[in-house]
Amino acid sequence: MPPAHAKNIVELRQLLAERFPGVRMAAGPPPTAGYCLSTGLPQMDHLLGGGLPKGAITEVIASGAGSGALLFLGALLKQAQKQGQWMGLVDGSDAFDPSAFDDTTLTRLLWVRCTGAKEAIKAADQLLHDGTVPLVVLDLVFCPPKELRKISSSTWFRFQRILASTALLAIVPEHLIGNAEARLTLARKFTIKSLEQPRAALLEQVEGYPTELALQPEVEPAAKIA
Amino acid sequence: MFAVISIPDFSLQALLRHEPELRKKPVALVDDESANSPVWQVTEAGRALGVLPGITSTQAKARCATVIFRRRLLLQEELAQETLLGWAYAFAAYIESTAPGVCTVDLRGLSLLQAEDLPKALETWARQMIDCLESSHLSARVGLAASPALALQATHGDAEVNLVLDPARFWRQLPVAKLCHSANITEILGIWGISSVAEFLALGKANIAVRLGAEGLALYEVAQTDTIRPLHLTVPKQAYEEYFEFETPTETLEPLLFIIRRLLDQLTRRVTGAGRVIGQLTISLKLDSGQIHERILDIPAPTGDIAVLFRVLHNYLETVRTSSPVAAISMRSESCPAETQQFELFETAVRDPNRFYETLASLSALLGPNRVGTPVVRDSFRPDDFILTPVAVDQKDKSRKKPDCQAERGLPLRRFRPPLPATVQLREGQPAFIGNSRFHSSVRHSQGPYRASGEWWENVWTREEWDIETHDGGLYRIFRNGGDWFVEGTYD
Repeated sequence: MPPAHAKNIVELRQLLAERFPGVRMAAGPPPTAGYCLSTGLPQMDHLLGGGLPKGAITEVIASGAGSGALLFLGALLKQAQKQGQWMGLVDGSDAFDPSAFDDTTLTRLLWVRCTGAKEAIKAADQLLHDGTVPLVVLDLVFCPPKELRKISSSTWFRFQRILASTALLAIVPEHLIGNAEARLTLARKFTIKSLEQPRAALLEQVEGYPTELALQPEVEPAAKIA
Repeated sequence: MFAVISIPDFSLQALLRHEPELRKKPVALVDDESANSPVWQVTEAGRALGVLPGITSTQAKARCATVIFRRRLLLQEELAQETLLGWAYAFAAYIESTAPGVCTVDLRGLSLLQAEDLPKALETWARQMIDCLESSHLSARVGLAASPALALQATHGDAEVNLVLDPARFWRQLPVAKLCHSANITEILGIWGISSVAEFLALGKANIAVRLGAEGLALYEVAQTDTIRPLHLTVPKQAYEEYFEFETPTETLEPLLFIIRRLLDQLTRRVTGAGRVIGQLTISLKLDSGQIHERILDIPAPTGDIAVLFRVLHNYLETVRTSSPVAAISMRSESCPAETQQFELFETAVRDPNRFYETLASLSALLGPNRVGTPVVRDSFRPDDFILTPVAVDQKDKSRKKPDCQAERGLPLRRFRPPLPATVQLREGQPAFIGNSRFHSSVRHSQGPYRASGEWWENVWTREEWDIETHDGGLYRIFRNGGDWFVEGTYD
């Protein structure tokens, strides 16, 4: 049986949703397609509730080789090129290989080659401040864990604040971003046989699952303790 | 119908264009800074305080302690003349640079001559011209008449715009002193009781020649304005320039930026007045030591927006360190037609290309050269062979090559740059174990070797590649080059 105040909050939310249907509440349903950038992969769009949310951070955890993170990146590139929009790739360890993609896919790519996480954060900051590029991908997969741990949580909150209509996708080796609007872990399933398969077939196999974070133990209300 | 645009005290006005606050103060124009240098021209405020043209600078200082002296600069006059011609050309096609500060405009072909109320249309036209010149801090007078000579004399009238439709009436109203620059003849004519030009002309050419000599005859010829002389037509330059010389050389950025803003304001007004935009800015700093620091700045998206142009200059000047103070500054702009870009139906325009390029420039400054751009893979079999091209926001995808189907197979590679040195143990010619600074693992599956040579003229295979899958599920590309093993990257 939910407590009385919880019931009131639910009713209040329902009332607000009826009165102001265009307004999205933080604790409400996932963002609709109008607020999202499609990834070009239907299965990922479905998981993300329509795509990468604009004006928010999406964290994609690629824990190791063969997870399909670069395939996902390639799909985003194709999608950006198809829509005539620019995509910024802040490459934290200068690891992107352009020869893996055809020239047409690369025409709308702004590749920012960094040599470490610190540099990548600075570069992403400038790119997000500019606000011209609608999608910025921050690839920190190859960055040493020691460097990643030095990124303070306030950095991500600042990024959250300066994102106007830009979508920021951070590809990280482990969970880093506490304030990410959406969080996915890519399933590691590709094998050596995948290297011979057509790219289109591999894109269909890219899979992820929502990352569940360990919840903090609920603190009982003070009145109840008393 | 002709119009003559005249700028009184042209040399002084040309000098004060970039210091408009001095136009209301007593300022005297002198040739040099010596005590006996005569005053050439004076502002209205100076005249009111007794500083008159012809007196020496010492006398001027004695009459008005607050008088400011400015040295004549011929370059400023040339640039002001270009400004005058530029504005005139924005209003009519047939213009003549008659004299410094004087421009004659042939109004034929202009629709305003067909207006029902011609005097009103001409006056409106002239007022617009005066307003435009005023925006460039030049106070002008406009005379309109049937002949160029009469229009020139019409600028001597009291009003800013003087339209002469009845020459006889005009001569009756114009004091002869306005036409005559000789104090001697003016005095003689005054004694004779002749005050207007009409009375002077009534004397007749022969009588004037006998009584006043060559000087009087020249004055008579000036007043003969019936003939229409052909104009020496000119076209203003497309390159716009502004120049400013500091009274004392400046060492800091703030005063420099203050003046740059004013110069840029003038440049932008002139360029946009001609229906064009600025595509390139050249800034020259003349240093106190005599050196010249010059830089050409390309504007990625040509614009007439002064804020954008100023930001470009500001960003650049913040990085400039000169060996000595700046004595003078010159700015030139190359104009180009304002382009309108046609985007495809679903293509999204970059909102502010100039700002985007500024961001890219600051990213390049942060990361170093060849670190920001769009990659283009070279037509080669050498591994990791690509170039970074500058981002072009107006590029069209149609110009690019068709997709390479071969490249679109398998998983993309995440490269180690440079490749990681590794230790590889082989079993039956295939990698069985790999160790390097990042991981150590036995190899579960491998594919290879794929052999390649460095260049086409080399007869031996210098590179052997393997794709391996380690026991922990990692997918890697490794290669052997000259006996040494390396990990090129991971497939992801």
